[in-house]
Parts: sequence; C-alpha cells; structure tokens
Amino acid sequence: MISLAVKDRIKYTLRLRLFLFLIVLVITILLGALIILFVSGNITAGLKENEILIKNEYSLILKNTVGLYDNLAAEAVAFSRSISMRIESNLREKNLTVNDLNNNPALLKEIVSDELNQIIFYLQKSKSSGAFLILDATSNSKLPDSEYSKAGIYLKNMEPNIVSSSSPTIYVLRGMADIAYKNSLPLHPQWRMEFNVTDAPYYYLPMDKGNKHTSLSNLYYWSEAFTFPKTNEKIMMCSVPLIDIEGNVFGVCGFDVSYMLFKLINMPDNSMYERIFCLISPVENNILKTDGSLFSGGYSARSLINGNELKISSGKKSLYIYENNENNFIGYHELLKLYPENSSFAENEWALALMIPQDDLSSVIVNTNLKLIYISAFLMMLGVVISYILSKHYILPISRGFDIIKNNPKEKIKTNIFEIDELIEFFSDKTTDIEDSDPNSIILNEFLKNIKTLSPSERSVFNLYAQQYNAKEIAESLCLSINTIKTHTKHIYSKLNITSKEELTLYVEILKESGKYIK
Amino acid sequence: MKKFIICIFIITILLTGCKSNELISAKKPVTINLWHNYGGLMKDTMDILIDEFNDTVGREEGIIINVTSLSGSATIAEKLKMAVNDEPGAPELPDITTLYPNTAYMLAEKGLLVDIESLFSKEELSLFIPEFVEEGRLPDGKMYVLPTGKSTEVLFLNTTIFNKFMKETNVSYNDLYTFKGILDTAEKYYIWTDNQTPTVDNDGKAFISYDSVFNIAQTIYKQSDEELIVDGSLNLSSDTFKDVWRYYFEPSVKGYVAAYDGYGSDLIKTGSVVASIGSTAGVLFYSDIVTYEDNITEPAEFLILPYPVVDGGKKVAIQRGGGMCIISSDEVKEYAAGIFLKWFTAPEQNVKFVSSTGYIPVREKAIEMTVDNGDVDDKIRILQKTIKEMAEQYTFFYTPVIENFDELQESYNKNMKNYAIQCNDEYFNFLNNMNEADAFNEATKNKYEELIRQR
Repeated sequence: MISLAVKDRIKYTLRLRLFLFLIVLVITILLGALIILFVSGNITAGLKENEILIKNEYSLILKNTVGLYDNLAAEAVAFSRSISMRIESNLREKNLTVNDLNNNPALLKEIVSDELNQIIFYLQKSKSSGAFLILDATSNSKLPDSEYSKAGIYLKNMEPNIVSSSSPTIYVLRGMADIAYKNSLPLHPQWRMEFNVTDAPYYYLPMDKGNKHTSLSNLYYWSEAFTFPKTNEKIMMCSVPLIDIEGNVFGVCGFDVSYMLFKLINMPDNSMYERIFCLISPVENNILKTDGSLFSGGYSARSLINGNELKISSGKKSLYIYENNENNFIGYHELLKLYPENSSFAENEWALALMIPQDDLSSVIVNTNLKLIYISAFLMMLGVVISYILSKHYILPISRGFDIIKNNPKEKIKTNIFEIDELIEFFSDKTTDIEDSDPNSIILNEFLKNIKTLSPSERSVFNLYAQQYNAKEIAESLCLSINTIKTHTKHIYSKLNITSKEELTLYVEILKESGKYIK
Repeated sequence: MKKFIICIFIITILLTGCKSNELISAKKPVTINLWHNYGGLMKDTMDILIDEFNDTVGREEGIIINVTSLSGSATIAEKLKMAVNDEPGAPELPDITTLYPNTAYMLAEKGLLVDIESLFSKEELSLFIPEFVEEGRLPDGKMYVLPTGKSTEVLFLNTTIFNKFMKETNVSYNDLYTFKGILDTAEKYYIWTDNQTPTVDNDGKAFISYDSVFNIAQTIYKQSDEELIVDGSLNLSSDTFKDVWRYYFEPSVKGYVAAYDGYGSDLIKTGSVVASIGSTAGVLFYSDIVTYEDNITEPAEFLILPYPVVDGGKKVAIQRGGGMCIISSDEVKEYAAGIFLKWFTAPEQNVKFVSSTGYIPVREKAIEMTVDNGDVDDKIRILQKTIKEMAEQYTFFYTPVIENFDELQESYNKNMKNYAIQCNDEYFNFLNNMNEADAFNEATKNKYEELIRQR
C-alpha cells in the first residue's frame, strides 16, 4: 500500500510521529474496552458461558421430565387401584377368584374386555405411549413355557403427543384378537396374543414386592429402557401390582414411555450445539447405564453413545465429564427422584443428563474466541487505516505551507489555517527584507519597474524578444512592418536603459532564474 | 481512498462470510416437521433414511427432519382437517406430510399446499414415472403431491393353511385369479372348516377379507369398462353393481367372505381368514405366525397373487399410494422441504425405501436398479415378483380427484360393511330355524334396494 520510497520520505517526519501516536491511542482504547467488557462480564469466551447455557437448557428438560414421570407414576397408581377393584368385584359377582382365570380363555376375554374402556381412558388421561394390564394367568397352560406366558392386554397410542380425543391411534400390541376385532381396534404389526415374561422385571419385581400392607405409591416400578419383545422401539415401563383385598397379587398394570414420546418431550435445543442430547438413565457406581436409558437428541449424537456405558467424573466449573470407550462428553446431570423415600425400589438410582461431545464444546469455545479475535483484528486494522488517513490529512496543510514558502516566499497566500498563515506571512516579510538589501536585486527591481512603463505595443514586442524571437519574426507575428518593430525596439531599449537585444535576453534569463515573474 | 474502501469491503466480506444471501445454512439449521403413515416395520426404514439425511445432506445444508406424527393415512387426513379448521386440541400443521390427492385437494383449495413445480424443475420431474407424477396434479393444474412410493392391491394367501385345505378339496391356486374362482373357493373353504367340528353346525370360517370394499367396487367397474363415480355420485344403478353385490355382499352374509370392518392382515394373524385383498403397502403387516384362540401358534407362509378379475373383464387394478406434500409456511422451510424430498426420491433412497416396504419405485432409474435382496423380507421379494407380473399384464387406474371423494368412499365402505355385518348376524340367527336359502332371503330382504337408495 505504501511504497518504500514514500516510507523513506515520511521516515522520522511529523506525519510518522503522528501516525504512531494515533496507533498507540487506538490500541489503548481497544484494550481498555476489552478489559472493561471482560471485567463487567459482558463478554465471556470460555467455559463459563457454556456452563450457563447448558444449565439453562437442563432446567427446562428437567422440568418436562419430572412432570412426565411424576404424572405417569401417579396415574399408574390410580390405574392399578381402579383396575384391581373392578376385576376383583367382577370376579366376585361371578363367584370366582383370580385363580379361576388360568386356562379359561373365555373368562379371560370377558374380564379383559370389561376393562378395555377403563384402560383406554387411563391411556389417554396419562398421555403415555402405551397402557398395559398383565394378569398372572394364561389361556393355555399346556403349552411349552406357558409359565412365562401371561394373558392381558397392551394398547399402544401411536401419537401420544397429539391431543385429540376424537381419533386416538390405538393399536393392540398384546391381547386377545377377538377383543380388538369387536372394538374395531387394529392389531399392531408385532401383535402377539400373550405377554412373554421370561425376562421381564417390569412384571416380576412389582409382583414380588406387592402386598396389602404397602401403599401402592411405594410399589410402582420404573423399568430400565428396553426393546419390548418382537417390537422395534425402546420403552420404559412404569408398572404397579394388582392386589386384591386379601393382599393377593394377581398381575400388574401400568404405562410406558416410548423412545418417541421421550424424544418429543425432551428434545434439546440444538441451535448452539448441534449434537446436544439428553438421557434418562439408570446410574450405578457413578456410571450411566446407557443400555437402559432413553435418548433424545440429534440423530448424529445417538451413534456416539450406542451401547456404551458412560463413566461420570467431575469436570471444570460445575459440569461433568462422561466417558465411554470412544468418546468424551461434557454436560450436567442430577439424580432423579423417581420414587418416594419409602418405595420398595428407592435404591434404584436414575439420572437425567444433558451433554455434548467434548470436541463440539471445544470447537464452540474456539469459534467464539476466534470470532472475538477476528473482531479485534478488524477494529485494529480499521484503527490503523484511520490513523494513516488522519495523519496524512493533518500534515497536508503544513506540507502545502512549506511548498508555498519555498516557491513564492514573498507571496502571502492564505491557507485558512491560522498558524500556517502566520508562518507564510513571516517568511514573506523576511524574504522581502532580504531582497530589499541586495544590490543585484535593486538593478533587477529597477528593470522590472521599467518594464511596467512600456506601452502595450512595446510590451508585446518585448515579450516576443523575451521568447527569443528576432525582429523579422516579431514583425510577422504581430503583422507589423519591420520599421515599426525597429521603432518599438528603440523605445524599449531607451525605457529599459539597455543597448542591445543580448542585454535584454540576459536580464530576462536572470529574472527567470531568480523566480521573478515578468507580468 | 478507493483502495481503502475496497480493502474495508474485502475485510467485511471475509469476516461476515459470503453466504448471506442463501436461504439456509449449516450454522442455523431449520427443523422440518414431518408426518407420515409408514408405520410398523416401514417405520424403521423411514427412521434409517431420515437418520441418513440428517447426518449427511441435512447437516451440510442445515436441515433437520423431525417426525412428529406417525399414523394411518385416514388419521393424518383427519388431523390435517382439524388443524386447518383450527379445532380445539388440533395439532400444528407439519411442514411435510404424506397425503392422498383427495385430501391434498382439500388443503390446496385453502391455499395451504406448495406447488411442487415451484421447487422441482421440469428436468427433475421428468426423471419420475410420468403416470405417478400426473396423479399428483390436481384440478387447478398444479402439482401438489410428489410421488414417493406407489402401491396397488393384491391377494395375500396364507399357503400354510391353504395347502392343507387344497389337499383335501378340489381347489387350486389358479382358482384365485378370478372373483368367481375366489367365491367358489370361499364356499368350499367354509364347508371344509365347518366339517372340522361335526358337532357344531354353521361354524365354518371365512376364506377371505377385503380391506376396502370401495376399491373392490371401483376395480370391478373398471374391469367391466364402467365408472363407479359419475358426475360426483355413485353409479349403483348399473348392472355391474350386481357383480359387486354377488362377489362381496352375498358371500359376506353367508360367512364365506369376512364381514369385518378392519384389515385382513389382522384376521390372517389369528387364522380367521386364509386370504386377504389389500394394499401392497400393507405387506409387512402380515405376520409370519398364526396364533389361534388357545394361544397355539404355527408358522405362516405367504403367496401373493395378482388382483382377481371378473369373468370376461379386463385385467385392471388400482394404483394407490399418495405421496408427500409440502405445507405452505415460509420460503426457508419450503425450500428446505424441497431439498429433503429431492433427496428422498433420488433413485438410491427410493430403492432402499421400496425394498423394505411394499411400495413400487417412482423413479425410472430406481426400477432399473437392482435391489439388494440380502436384507429384504421374503414376503417383499414375493411381492416384487407379483408386482412385476402385474405391471406387464395389467392396466392401472387411479381414483378421480373430486371434492366429495373421501365422503363417497367413507360412506360406501361404512354402509356396505355395516350392512354385511348386520345381515351376517341375522343370517346365522335365522339359520337356527330356517334352511340356508330362506335364512339368506330373510336376512337380505330389500337390502339391495335400500343400499342403492341410500347413495
């Protein structure tokens, strides 16, 4: 931008000094502004800012999750209480007990059919993704492994997120097909008639703990997330034992939270961090058991945690670091209180965690800092350019003033800048004084004075002599006769006190060299 | 001074980036809500495809596809109507939804759909099968429904049960290529199953179930070179309707055909019927096992046959399956939705989609591309052969786009099935005191005339 020659020219000049002073000023102001912004907390480019963002997002998700799980647990208890009483009363009317349900498909169908509307009611009221009733009975105990086959019904609400009582999309996932046919309920593509409880803690644990002395509120159980047999979607089940008045446990009922429901309720805002996600997960020995967790977040984040446990350790600030074999995450979690203190399952620890891959967080911090650096650099450059222009414009009148003094030391040209005008005037006066005392200048000034006595015609002739014309050329140029030119020449010599053309040319040369203009 | 201004301009561009004029960017992703009706096992295919999009093109372009509703096409249509009419409890309209042209018509009339041709160039649309594209063009001449996968109707047959029946009776698979053959087979099957329990009278089982009696009627009319819908109303005075009556209503009353208001795939799961005529899109709803009332199960194998034909009729079958529509919102979302649909209907994705569902590809190239049969369900492989056979021999028609189409379809299906269910009940009650002919006449007395009058 600035050539070396120019640089050399402005070296150690006033302009360079002014430019450097201005740069120092710009840097000082910029640094001062940054320090004030950092100290006042208006700019934070580090972990602290991210910690605040993560915790704000976490508090929203925590509120949604606690609302969902507390509501489902409360509804499940009410559901169990209602269904237990109704089934017991229904059987009593028939002079039957729960033991009579086994191997009695017709009775099972009738009992379950009678509860269908109640189940649909609770399914919709709870806004869960599924409601189930499992009886400790099977329609055919002669079949192999029949001890693991349990009758009941499992309704899936395919759209728990849409509030509409007019046409809930309910499928029958388990249960007698006749019940579905008669109630115009479609069978789920993965429908089976009975529940296979071979590996079903959601069934056995509440059944084992169930007794008439413990409040139902202390008996509900949240299963770890798992893929229900023969289906494709992960769910968590909240199951509550069915207990008759004598304390006999004859089944379980409850709701499920599907992967999709959890995702829709807890989808973190990914505008800041693309791969942010949250988990509701069982915790054991400071390890998040992701196999048993439900996940909500961006698709690309899901593959990062697939099937790998996450070891929790303390991170910077109040955040935690979560590690698996392949990836590290930074985030925040709190232990969830899914059970009351006296619950039979109170020792089961659950956590709700919100996290981001560590690389993502680092790149966000780096990006934020880079942005700050870019802005500072831009402001700095802008300051340099402005300093350059200001210094140039500030010095410009001074340079012009010097030029005026150098070229026309006697002229009092005005620049509209007081100090410079003063300087020009001062130099002009000085120059005049000097000239007035020089003998050569006296002769030249006399000559100049005499030029002013020439008539216009003589002056025209004089001017052409000054331009090295001869008499003949002047006569042609002015369209006059050579005699007339000679007459003018004679008058000119007389008025200027000279005797020859050579003398006239010498005077003109001296005047030009001394910079005195011949008007 | 000029150098200074240029310098500042360049720095500003470098610092602010050069993409300010683009509608979307990876830095500020836009979320597109999607409703679709690809449920059951098809859901996994959709999930995988959406995952793939979000992780590739979506991430680069700044588009996130989020499925907010998964339900049947009728439910989607109803929920859209609720949303359009702003009914209490109605969900928010999605950005993309699967729709049939008739429902799309309702939304298009209210100006709620985006003209696909504003997002797809002529060259891009020319890569689709022209008939499928044209089905999405509505009466106002604009194209609102982009085909994603088409279906037709076929006959699903549980061969595990049918083979047992075939061994003991004089029937064959060839009988199932015509409506008359099916009717005869159904009667024989009813008698055969009735005879399995000599001590109980009249407990035979239905042979077949028809998912949509409206589609049966439409197809029988087309096969007979007639139209079911004329001038916006049902043409039931035609003699062709007598064929419909004969092939559906009468055997339903007698219990040969299932009098059931639901899907045949549900009845097949329990062995309540052996065959079902339904959409190819429902292929994965047919279970590999049959569970009987006593919880005994047996494996089920399937044969999928072309759509039956009426005697002397043409080989005509229905072309079904809607497509995806973009709901009007803002320029950014519409543009992003267009990018997703271009990706979703590209041959690579289209092949993946159809090879794990019962749909027909919509791109010429996708049909040519070899499907990796390694991961394809057996039933889908069988179905693909049947579809190919039908494509060679059959002519396909699509339903007319008229304002009251859904109402006509719904009321016809409802009335026909309700009448069949009601008369079936009465018929079996009358059988306690009457012979079959009298019971039938008594149960169906004046029903034909009543049904026609109700149209």
